[in-house]
Amino acid sequence: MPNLELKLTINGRKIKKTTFSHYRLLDFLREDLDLTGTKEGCGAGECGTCSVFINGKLVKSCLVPAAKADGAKIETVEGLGNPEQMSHIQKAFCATGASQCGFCIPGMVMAATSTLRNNPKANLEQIKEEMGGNICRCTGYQKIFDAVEMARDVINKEKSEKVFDEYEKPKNSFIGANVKRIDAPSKVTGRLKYAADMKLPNMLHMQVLRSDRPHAKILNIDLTKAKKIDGVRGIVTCDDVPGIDNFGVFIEDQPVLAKDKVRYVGEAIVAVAADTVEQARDAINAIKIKYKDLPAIYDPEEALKEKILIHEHYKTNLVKHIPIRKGNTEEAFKKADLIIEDEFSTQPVEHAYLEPMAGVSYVDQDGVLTIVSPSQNITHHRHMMAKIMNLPIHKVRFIMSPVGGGFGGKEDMIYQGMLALLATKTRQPIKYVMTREEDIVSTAKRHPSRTKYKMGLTKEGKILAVEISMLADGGAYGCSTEGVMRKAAILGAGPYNIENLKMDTRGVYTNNTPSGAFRSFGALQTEFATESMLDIAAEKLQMDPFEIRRINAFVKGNLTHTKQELNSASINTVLNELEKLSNWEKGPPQSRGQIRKDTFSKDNRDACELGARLKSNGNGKRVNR
Amino acid sequence: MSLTKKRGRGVAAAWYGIARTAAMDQAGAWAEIDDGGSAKISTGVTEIGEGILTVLAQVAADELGVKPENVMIGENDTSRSPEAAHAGATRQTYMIGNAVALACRGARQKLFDVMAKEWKVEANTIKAHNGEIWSEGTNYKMEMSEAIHICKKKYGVIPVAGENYTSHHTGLDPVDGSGRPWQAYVFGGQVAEVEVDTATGEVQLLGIWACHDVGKAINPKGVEGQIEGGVVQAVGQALMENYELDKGRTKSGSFAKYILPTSLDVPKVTSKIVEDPDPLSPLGAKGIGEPAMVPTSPAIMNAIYDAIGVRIKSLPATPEKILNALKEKKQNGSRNIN
Amino acid sequence: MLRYDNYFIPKTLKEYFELTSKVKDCRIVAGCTDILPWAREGRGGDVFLKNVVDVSRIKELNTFKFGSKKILMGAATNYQKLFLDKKIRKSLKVLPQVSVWFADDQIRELATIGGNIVNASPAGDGMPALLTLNTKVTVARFKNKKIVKEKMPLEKFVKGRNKVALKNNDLLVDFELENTDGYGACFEKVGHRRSLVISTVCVASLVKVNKNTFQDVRVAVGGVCEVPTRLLKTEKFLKGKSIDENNIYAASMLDLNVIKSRSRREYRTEVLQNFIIRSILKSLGKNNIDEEIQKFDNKVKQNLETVHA
Repeated sequence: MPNLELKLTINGRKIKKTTFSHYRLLDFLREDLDLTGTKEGCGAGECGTCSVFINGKLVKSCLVPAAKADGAKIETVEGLGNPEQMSHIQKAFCATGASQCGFCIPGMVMAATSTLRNNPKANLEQIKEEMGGNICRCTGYQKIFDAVEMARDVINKEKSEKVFDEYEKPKNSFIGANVKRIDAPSKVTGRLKYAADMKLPNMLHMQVLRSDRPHAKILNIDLTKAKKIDGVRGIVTCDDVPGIDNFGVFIEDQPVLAKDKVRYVGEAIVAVAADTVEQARDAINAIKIKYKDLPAIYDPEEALKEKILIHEHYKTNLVKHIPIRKGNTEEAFKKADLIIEDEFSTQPVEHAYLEPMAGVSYVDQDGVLTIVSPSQNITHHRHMMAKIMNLPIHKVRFIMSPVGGGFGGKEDMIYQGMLALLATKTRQPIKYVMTREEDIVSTAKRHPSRTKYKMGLTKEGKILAVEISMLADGGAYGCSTEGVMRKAAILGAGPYNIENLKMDTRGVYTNNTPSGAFRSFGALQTEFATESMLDIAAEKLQMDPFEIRRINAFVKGNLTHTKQELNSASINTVLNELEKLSNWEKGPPQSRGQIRKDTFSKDNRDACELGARLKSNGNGKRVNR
Repeated sequence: MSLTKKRGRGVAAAWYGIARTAAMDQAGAWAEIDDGGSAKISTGVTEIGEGILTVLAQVAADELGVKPENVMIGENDTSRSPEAAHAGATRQTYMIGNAVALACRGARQKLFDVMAKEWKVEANTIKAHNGEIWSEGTNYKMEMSEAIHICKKKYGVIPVAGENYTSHHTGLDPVDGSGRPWQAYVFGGQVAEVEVDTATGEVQLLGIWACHDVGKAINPKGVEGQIEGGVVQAVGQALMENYELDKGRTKSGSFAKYILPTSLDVPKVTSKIVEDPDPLSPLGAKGIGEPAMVPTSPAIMNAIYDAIGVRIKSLPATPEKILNALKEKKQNGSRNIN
Repeated sequence: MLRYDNYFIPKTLKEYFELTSKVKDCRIVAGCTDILPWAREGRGGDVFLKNVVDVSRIKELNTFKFGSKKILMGAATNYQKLFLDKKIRKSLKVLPQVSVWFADDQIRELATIGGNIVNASPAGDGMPALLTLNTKVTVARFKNKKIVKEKMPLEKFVKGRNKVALKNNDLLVDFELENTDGYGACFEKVGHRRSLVISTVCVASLVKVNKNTFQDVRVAVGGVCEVPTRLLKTEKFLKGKSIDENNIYAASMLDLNVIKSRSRREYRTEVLQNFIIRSILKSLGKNNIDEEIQKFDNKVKQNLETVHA
C-alpha cells in the first residue's frame, strides 16, 4: 500500500501525493504524475534517459529514491517547453535534425539545458564532456552537438533566432530539401508516448519467467504458490496457445512460450498478469520449474557435427546454407600471381535501442485482438498472430507504437504472443515493459561470424578468384538467419567484378542467444573480410588501396556475383569523390601512418583527453545554481 | 614500455541492395488532398527514427503541391492503413516513397482535371507547388486551399487515390545462387583516421569521411544523420561492444558491462552524397540506412594497421587485443595477428 | 528491483545512532548510485529490505573545511564538488582529474566519496587519489550510549575487496586530506571507452619538484589488486633523485608485482608501467608535454636497443 507522503514542487507546481515507499523518483514522475517524458532506458544509471533537475542539479532519476526527493524542486522535460512554445534548445534540436527515434532526446535536451545553464559559453569539447552521461544509439551525436552549439550561439545573441526556422531547399521542389523532421517537436518536448508510456484503464501488468539454463527439458511447472499471490489475474504457459504455436521471420520455429524444452538462457516459459508489476514479479518468483539439463552446444563448429540436435524434428542444426558459384575458382587460382588466405571473425552485437521492448494488448468492443507495440513489421506479425491465436486475420489488429530504435531488433515477435494470450484470458488490457537486462538476455543479436577467405590476384591487382566460407552462430531459433546468410552471400565479395567466385554462407542452431536481423544483415560481416583482404593484397602488391579497388570495381553492364547485369554502378564515382573529400595521400598501405601527410586533418575531432572543463571554462565563469 | 600516440588512415568500400532480398517487395499508399490545402497520407510506414515520415511528407508535398508541414501521415495500423510494412532492408524510402508518389499523382490528377475544367485550360498546363496552383502561360493562379474548396464543393470531386509500388526481385538458384535479388544497388566508401595510444592500446576514431550513393537524396540532412548514426554503431562493434557468452550465459547483461559509444567516443563525420538515380522507379531515390555502416569497421581496421602495423581480424579491437598484437609483432616480427 | 518498507533520513549523528539502535534490519545508503544498479537481474536480483537509512543529510557528514595544511570533507561530499570546487582545483589537482573520469555529471551529483570508499571496489577510482593525499578517515561508533570517534589512515579503513573497518551501525563521518598545493598531479585511467567506464587500470600521481630533483613522489594504483595501494618502492626510489628518463624508467619497474588480478595480467602490467611513467611526466607540468613524452619514449627505446644489441 502506498505509505510515502511526498511534498514537492514539479515544474513550478506544488504537488502533495502519497506513493509507494520503494518508488524511485522516476517511478513517481511516470506512474503517479503521468510525466512520461522522462524515460527508463536502463534503470541502472547508464543511459541518461531519466535525467531530471533536482534543486537545479541534473541527476539520473532512476538512481533517486522518491523519498530522497521530498521537499525538493524538480524540473522535468515537460517544464522546459511544449510543441507550440519550445525552449531555444528544443528549437535548435528541431532545426539541426538532432532527433531520430527520439527516445534519448528528452534526456539529451535536459543534459544540453544543464550544460548551457552551467556554462553559457561552453565550447564543443566541454559540451561533449558534460553530455557524456547520455547515450544515443541512432544519431551518432553529431547533430545533437550541432543543436547545442546553435542554441548557445542564439542564447548569447551571436546568431539570430531565424536559424531555428531556415532550411535549404531547391527552388521549385521539396525533393532535396532539408525540411525539419515533422516528428521532432513531439520528441524534443517529451510529449510523444511510446508503449511504456501508455496507460489503459483497468490494465494489468505482465511479467515473464525466463529460462536460466541453455538447454533443458521442462519436466514440471508448479504454479500453485504463484496462483495464490494477491492481485494475480492470469497465468499462461504454452498450453494456453489455441492455434499453431510458432513464429519467426523466415522459419516459424519459435513457440510463444517454451514447449517441452528450453533452448537458450532467457527463453520465456511462463507469463503472469497481475494488478501491479510488483505482484506479477512476486508471482514469477513463486513459480517452481523442474528442469532436466541436456547437453548443450555453444560453438557453431560443434553444431555442424550434429551430435546434438537443437530442434530434433528438423533432423539437422543447419538453418540455411547459401551457395554462390561463378566461373571456376580452382583453375583461376592457378593463374594468380598472388594468393592470400586469412580468417576473420566478428562478435555478437546487441542492438541497444534506447527503448526497451514494451507493449500493450487488449480485446476491443468488436472482439478484435489488438496489440500495440514498437514492432518493425506489423504486417507479418499480424499473420503469425492470427495463426497462433486461431483467429481470422481481420480479427487481429497490430498498431505500431512509436519505435524508440529498432535496427532489426524489433522484427521478432518475441513477446506479443504472451500479451495476446493474457489479454484474451483475462479480458483486461495487459501492459508489459521489459527491463534492460531482460531485453538484452532474451532478444536476438547480430550473428557472430567466422569467415575463411582465399583471394587470388594478378600482380596488377586484378582479382581473379575468391573463395569465401562464412559460418554464423544462429543461436537457439531461426529468426532472420536465413535472410542474413543470403545477404551475406550475395554481397560479401564486395562491389567488384569477380569472374570466379565460390561463396558459402552457413547459419547453424546452437544454445546461445538467438541471432537475428541487425542493420546490414550479414553483409557487414562478409564485406568486412573482403575489405581487409584487399588492403592485405594492396600492401603485398605495393598498390594504393583506392587503386586496387578501382581496378576491380563494378562498371555498368558487369554481372554481379549472382549473374545479374548492373544497369548502373557508381562505385568508381564514389571512390573518386571519397579520395578528394578525405584529401587522401596516395601510397601502399604498409603502415605509413607516421610519415604520411594527410593525417591531422582539420576534419577530425580533437582526441579526447577528458578534462576539457578543467582547462578552461568557456568564459571562465560557471554559474552556480 | 611505450607511451606515444600514433595516427593512421584506412579506406574501405561497400555495396548494398535496396528492399527485400530475393523476393518480390510491395507497398501500398492512399493520398488525399484535403481542406486548407493540406494532405492526408495513409500507408504502412514504420518510422523507427530514420526519418521516413519526413521523407514521405516531402514526397507528398512535392507531388501534390502542398507544404510539407501541412501533410498529415496516418498511423501504422494493420486495420487502418494499407500494407507497406516493414522497416528493414533499407526499403522504406524506395518502396513507400514511390508508392506515396504514385498515389499522390493519382489524387493530384483528379484535382488538375477539375481545375482544367474550371479554368478551361489543358490539364497538362496545371502546376502546383508550396500551397499554390496555377496554369502555365495564363494568369490563372490561386491558393491550394481555394482550389480544393472548388473541387469538392462545386464539382463534388474528392481528390483521393490509392496506389501500389512493386519492386521486381527473383529468388536465387539453389545451386549456383544466380538471380536478381534486387533491382537497385547502392555503393559507398569511407576513410577512417584513428589515433592509437600505444601505452594502453586504446583506439580513438577521430574522423570518418563518407561518400555514399543514395540515388536521390530527398532530405540530405536526414541522409547525413543516417550516415553519422550508422558510423557510430559500427564504431561500437569495431572497438568496444561485445555480447559475451560463457556456456550460453551472458557476461554483458547490462549497459555497465555492454559498452556503447558515448559522446566522447565518436568521430567527426564528413559526408558527401553521390546521386546515381535509380532508372526504374518514379523518384530515383534508393537508400542509406544499412549501407551507411558497412565500410566503417574495415576502414577502421585498415587505419589501425596504418598506425601501428598490426592487423586486427577479430572484432572488437579492444585495447587488450591491440597491446597484445603489438607485443607479438615485436617478438616475432609477424604482422598478421589475431 | 529494490523494494523496502521504510526510508529514514536522519539529520544528525545523534539522530542516526538513536534510530539505528532502536530499529533493526537497517541498510545504510548515501547516494544510492551503487545499490540501485545492483538490485537488478544478473546482480542482486529482486532485493527486499525492511529499513533503509539515508545518511547523506547528516550534518556531520556534510562538513567542508579548507585549511592551508589539511582539508576536511564530510563523507557525504559528492564527487561533483571535487570537480567544481575552485580551491580543490587549485590545490588538490588530482581530485578534479579523478572526478571527470568518475561516471558522469548526473551521477557525480549524487555519488558520495563516503559511499564510494565504503563500497571498497578494487576498481574504484576514488581511493588511489585519496591515498596519494595521505587521507585519514573518521569513524563514529555508538559505545555505551555515547558517540565515540576514531581516526585512522585510509589504508587501515579499507581492509579488502568490499571490506571496510565498520561493524554494526558504525558510520564513516569524514575524510582528512593533506593540502598538496604546489604538487603537480595526474590521473590516468583506461577502460573500454572514454567515459562512464570501469577501470582496468588507473594510476594517480603527485609530484613535488625541487630544481631538477624529485622532492616528493606519491603514486597509487587501482583496478589491479584487491585494494588500491601506494607504490612504495617506486616512491622511495625517486625521492631525492634527479629528474631524468633513466631514473623514471627504473622506478617504473619496481612495483609491477602489485598486480594480483589473474585476468588480463599481462595487459595490466604493461599499462601500469606506462601509466606510472606517463603520469609522473605529466605531473611535472611541463609545457610541451606531448613532445616530452615523445622524447622520453625515443630515448628509452634507444637505450633498450643498445642494451639488447
